[in-house]
Amino acid sequence: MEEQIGEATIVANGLVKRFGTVTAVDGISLVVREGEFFGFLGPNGAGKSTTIKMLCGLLRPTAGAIQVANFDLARQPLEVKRQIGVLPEEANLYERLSAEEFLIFAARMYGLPLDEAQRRTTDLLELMELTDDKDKLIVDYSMGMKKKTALAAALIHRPRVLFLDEPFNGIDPVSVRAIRNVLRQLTERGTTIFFSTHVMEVAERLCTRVAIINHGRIAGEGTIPELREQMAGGGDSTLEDIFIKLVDAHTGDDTLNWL
Amino acid sequence: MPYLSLLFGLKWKLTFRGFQRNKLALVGTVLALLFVAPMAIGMAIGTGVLYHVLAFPTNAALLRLVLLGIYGFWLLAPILGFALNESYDITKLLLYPIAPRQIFLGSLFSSLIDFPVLLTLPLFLAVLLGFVNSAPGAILMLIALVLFLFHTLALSQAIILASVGALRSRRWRDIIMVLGPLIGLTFYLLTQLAPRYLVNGVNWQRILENPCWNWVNYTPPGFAARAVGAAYAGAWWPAVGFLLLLTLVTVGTIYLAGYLVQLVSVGEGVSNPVRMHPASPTARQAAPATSGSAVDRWLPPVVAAVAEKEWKYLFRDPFFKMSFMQMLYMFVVIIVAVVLPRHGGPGMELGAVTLWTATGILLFGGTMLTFNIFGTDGIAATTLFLFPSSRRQIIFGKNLVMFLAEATVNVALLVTLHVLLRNFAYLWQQTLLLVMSMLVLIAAGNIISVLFPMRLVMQGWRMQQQSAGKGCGRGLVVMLGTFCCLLLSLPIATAVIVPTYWIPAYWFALTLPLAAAYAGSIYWFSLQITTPMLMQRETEIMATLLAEE
Repeated sequence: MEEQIGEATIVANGLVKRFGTVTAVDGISLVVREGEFFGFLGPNGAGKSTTIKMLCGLLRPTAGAIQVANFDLARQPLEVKRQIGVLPEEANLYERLSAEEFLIFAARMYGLPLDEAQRRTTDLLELMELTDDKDKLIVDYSMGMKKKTALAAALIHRPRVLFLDEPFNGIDPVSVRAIRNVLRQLTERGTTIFFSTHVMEVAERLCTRVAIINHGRIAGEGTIPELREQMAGGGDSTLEDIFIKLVDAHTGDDTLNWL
Repeated sequence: MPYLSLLFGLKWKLTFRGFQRNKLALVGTVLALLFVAPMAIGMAIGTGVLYHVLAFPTNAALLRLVLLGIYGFWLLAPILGFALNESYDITKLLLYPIAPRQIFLGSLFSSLIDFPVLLTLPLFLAVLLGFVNSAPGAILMLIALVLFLFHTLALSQAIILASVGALRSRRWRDIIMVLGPLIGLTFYLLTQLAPRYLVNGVNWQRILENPCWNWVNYTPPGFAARAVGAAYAGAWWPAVGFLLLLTLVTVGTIYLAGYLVQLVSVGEGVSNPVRMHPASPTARQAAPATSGSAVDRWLPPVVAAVAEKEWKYLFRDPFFKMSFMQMLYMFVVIIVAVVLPRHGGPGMELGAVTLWTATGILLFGGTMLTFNIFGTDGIAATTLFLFPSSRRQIIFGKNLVMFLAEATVNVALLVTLHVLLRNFAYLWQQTLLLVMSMLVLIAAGNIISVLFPMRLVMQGWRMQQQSAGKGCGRGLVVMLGTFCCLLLSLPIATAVIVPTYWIPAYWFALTLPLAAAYAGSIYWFSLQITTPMLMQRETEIMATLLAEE
């Protein structure tokens, strides 16, 4: 992306996370600007979810600093949480509440008045096509329905920054399209979206800029044309081609002859 | 069949690698074995001696009931959520191109190395030792017992397979959370009451040989018992006849189970009761109480939201049902210990000390809840800690509901105890002591919950607390916490007890407000220190609550 969309909204500097002797994230530095739809891509176990958890305060970094919406996460965690909405990889919801009850609960926890919480809940249930099941306990939902409920809860307070970890996993195509449109509208209004996915087509279609993480380090970062430039002979390569080159993946073309 | 050894090998690896991965489970199993194995061996010795000592056919009648007991245990245990063997997950193997009947037989043979099966074997050995009186008899008895064992295991599996959907449903798990402890409670009451009322003048021989047990003769335990009895009496043809019957039933059961595996393999698992449409009314039905507006008027929004959520969880989360059952269990134990007469004689001297002690026991009965306030949040704690809300208000909202719920239950139980004892002399003093001391307990619980969070893991109808590696350390902390609460409650107890017994009653006008202020201060102090502590330790608490096995 040529233009700078806005001021820096997410700034990570030298992020490191170690679990015992394993280094999951190894010195990541990132800047994501206001209104960007930032794709965070990487193979399984590359450190995507760990990074997202650190950026939204669910995991304490071993080293490094994080600023979100101009607030220092270490010193002002509640201020940061007020500005962000998070859809974690696993939808960790209060499963003994119904979707409607949970969304109203979430809205009130963000300080919204009850009538506004109810209004937004109705709209979001409609958007996520959960209205018919709104009274059912979440524990009885399918995985996709839980994910949609979690996404609705992440949107309900109209956050400035959205962290979405594999948001479209397990969600039906109709809802994917509806959600995608909402996310686009949000970025147009200045919301910053930090988005991790395995699906290159989705990233290619939605993201204004991407970073590719491998073995806990940033292997490449920029707009898709910029990444093509970085790759020797990039030409008309797709994001998937770029991704495979950057993570040095073994595609299995020359093995499994017996298959 | 090559698959049998493959499946047996799989079972062997699953069992022993499970212990390698989880040393705590190994220690737990060893401790359980140390407790259960002597019981199983003791029962085997006891029944073996009785088979030997009792005359025929009384010993055969006893065997009939012993086999019936084993049968009942194996058929009921899986329904109550006890996974007696790995074959519970037989459906995992349905992906592979192995005939369902082979999978089933493999799991059946594999279950022979399960501890529950191994612990049942001494009872069978006792049958042989008690009844064998000839070589042909020994062979017939051995065949009868092996057939009975295979039939029982096969039927147990068939029941699980037939109800696989139901057993895994949330509703069934919720039901057995209540049903399991109720069965335990009934068993406890029976074991307590039977000796008091039945020991004298009971004719055990008449009970064993009572015609009311004759229906058992036409069931598999009856066939096995009659085969053993006939072989013991040297009646070979009847013995062979009963063996043939047992063989038919066993083969039939294995075929039935194989058929059920086939049904499951093509996605026709029977009786999944989870209703998807129309929308379940559960959410509305189980949520009385805190209607938004009333709560909102009186409480800050975050406190109201958390309190409302906690209140709904009280009615919906199985952990609370289980905790309530535990309190009820303890209450029944108190009743049995102090109220019911012993051996038909007069009851224990019901002095005031008993009631004061019962008050203390009720007070500490809820520590499982108060000392682990984030336990029921489980993985949803990730969501809770993402909210930018005041941590003080979150804790207060949780405490408020816990206090109201526990106070209501405890006071109700205390009043019931007074009614049963027909002794109301100190009811209001004990109620006040209970309620004020609960504030101290909740205060201590906040600190313990933040410093030593515990993950709750549901196993059958039991909810286990796991401290993710801290092992016995947490147990020690809970003990220390309970001791500290006792010490901290002493001023409250003094303020209530001293004017009750030793100084004029008008002193209550001074001591009770002081005690209330003291309890309130302790609680306020705990909020002051846990609020910043929670902010600091949120990531650690989440790590504990999300920890994998």
